[in-house]
Amino acid sequence: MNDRIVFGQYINKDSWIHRLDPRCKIITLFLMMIGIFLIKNIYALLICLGFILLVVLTTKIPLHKFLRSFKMIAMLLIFTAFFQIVFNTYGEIVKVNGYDLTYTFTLTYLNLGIGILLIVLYFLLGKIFRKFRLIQFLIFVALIFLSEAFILIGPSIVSYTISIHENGLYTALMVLLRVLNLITLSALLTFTTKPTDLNGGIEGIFKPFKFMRKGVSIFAMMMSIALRFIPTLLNETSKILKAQASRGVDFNDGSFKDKVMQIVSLLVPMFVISYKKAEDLANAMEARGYIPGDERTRIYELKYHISDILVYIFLVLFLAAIIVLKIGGIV
Amino acid sequence: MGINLSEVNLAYLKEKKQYKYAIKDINLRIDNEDEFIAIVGHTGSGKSTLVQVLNNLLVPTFGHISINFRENNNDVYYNIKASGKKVKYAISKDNINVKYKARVSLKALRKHIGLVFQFPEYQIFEETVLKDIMFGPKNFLRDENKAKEEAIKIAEMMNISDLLDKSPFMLSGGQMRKVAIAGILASKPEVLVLDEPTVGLDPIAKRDLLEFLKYLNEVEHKTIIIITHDMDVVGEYAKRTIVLNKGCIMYDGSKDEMFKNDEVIKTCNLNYPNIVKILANLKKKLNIDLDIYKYNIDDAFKELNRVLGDNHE
Repeated sequence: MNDRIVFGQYINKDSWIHRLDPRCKIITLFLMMIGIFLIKNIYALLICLGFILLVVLTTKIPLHKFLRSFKMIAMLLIFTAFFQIVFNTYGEIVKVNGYDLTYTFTLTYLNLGIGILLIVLYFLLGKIFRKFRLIQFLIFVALIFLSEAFILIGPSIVSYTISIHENGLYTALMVLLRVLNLITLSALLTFTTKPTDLNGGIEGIFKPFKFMRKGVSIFAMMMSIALRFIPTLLNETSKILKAQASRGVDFNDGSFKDKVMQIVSLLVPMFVISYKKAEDLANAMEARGYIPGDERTRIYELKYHISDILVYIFLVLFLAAIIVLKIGGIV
Repeated sequence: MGINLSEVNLAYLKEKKQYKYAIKDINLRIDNEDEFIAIVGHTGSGKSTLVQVLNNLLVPTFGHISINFRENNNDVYYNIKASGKKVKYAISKDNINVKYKARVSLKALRKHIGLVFQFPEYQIFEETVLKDIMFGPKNFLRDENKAKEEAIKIAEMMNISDLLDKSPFMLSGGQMRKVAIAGILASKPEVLVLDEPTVGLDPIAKRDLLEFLKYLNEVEHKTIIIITHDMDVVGEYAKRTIVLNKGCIMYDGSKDEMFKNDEVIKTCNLNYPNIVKILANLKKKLNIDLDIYKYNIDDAFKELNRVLGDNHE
């Protein structure tokens, strides 16, 4: 169960990024994200992505872990790109070898039948072959379009043209690169920073605002408890799942009514357990002298090292470069 | 008839092709009638994993499991064959023409083997005790009235009939556990597996529960499997003990033999039941020829009487 959640998981390795101060990492991530949002030039985005991937290589974390975090949003990315390419009609039509990239599709009655058949096939295939569902889906969509482009037998219902415009391609590519940049960056942070460090970093960043409100440390404590209890609660969930399975709940299938019952049989015990754990934890914290909002000392004081300063210098240079290029109208 | 495990392994893939075995090379035969088995071994020895494999809640990595029960006057065989990542299942009526498939719903299997987890009170979720006890049989039988009948019958057996209309969350810990166990028993499993059922119960509730299990075993001829650390329970109730050590079965046999086997006791950090300890001490102090392997007070008293005879009051 724990294997599925890749995004936001800490991977223990020893690299310079792991040793960086969490405050430095959070601030750099945040400002770099803003910087990347300002860039509108594809080449600049590509350079950014290349640079980030270089940094990724130095973390000693296997690349496929990063790739798996892309997988989660692959569907979203593909849809965005698809709609941009198909529906964006600004700019010139793209030409390849002097031919316009314009395609005519005709929906005939035969095609309609084929389309429905393919959709049914797709769902039937899901019952047997559960892997690579995304790729399967894409293949079936492509097949539907192909059938509408080439099998033109019988009376047609509707005919439509899709032409690929420069602007659409450009925007699609830009969105794609931007999201890839952002995902890699945030994966870089969460893969290399322990939840407790992340929390300490956030607390450290908000320290200057302490005079405004007292709640910073309470909020940080709440965050760290929430993060710390994710694996515990996942464990409890799998226990309850098994306990209910041994009472005859089949979580794999069942009618809609059954499904509701299955979820209730899982949720109620989880609520009970969470409340009980929260109560126990609160008592245990009080017993060890925790007073909300009070001044606390830390075991590990956060300290900036030379590498953090170097990263900050790089960050300033990066932002300066973007601003200069932006004013110059290049990116 | 019963459960047959041969060469069953369950491993977690750590890194590339490096396995960490939770249980290793388990060969086991469990009858579905009249057995009272205690599974012992120190924490992390794979006891809980083993009982979850019996129920197919955990799928083995390697090995073959064959489970055989009577359903509607037919001998039904459930077969699970695992070799690495590939697991094949089969349900057959005669075990001759076994057709293996990649996926089969083994829900029916769980009707025959009831598993009560540690702290089962957490699985309760319905608003009344009756509804919660009904939940299991309702899932298996798909018949509301029958399920209700079963639930009321089981509640009477366990002396919790007066709680049926109450909310389970208003009960005491011991009562909640009784309700949870009733919830499993209501689906009438032939084999009942309990993972440390007496932890956190007061002595009276503990005795009640164990006596009830004894009743189920002796009168209803059910097979009871309990995981426990309490040697008094093993001594007094179990007929057969299975000792697990680092995922392997170290000992499988009668409890007498186990307590006489010093090697097993030492390597697995086991202990002797209190009565055995007392008798052993008496034997040493009084220097008398005493059979120290007696597991309840009556037997121990008889043995003392036999040895000391009339010359000691």
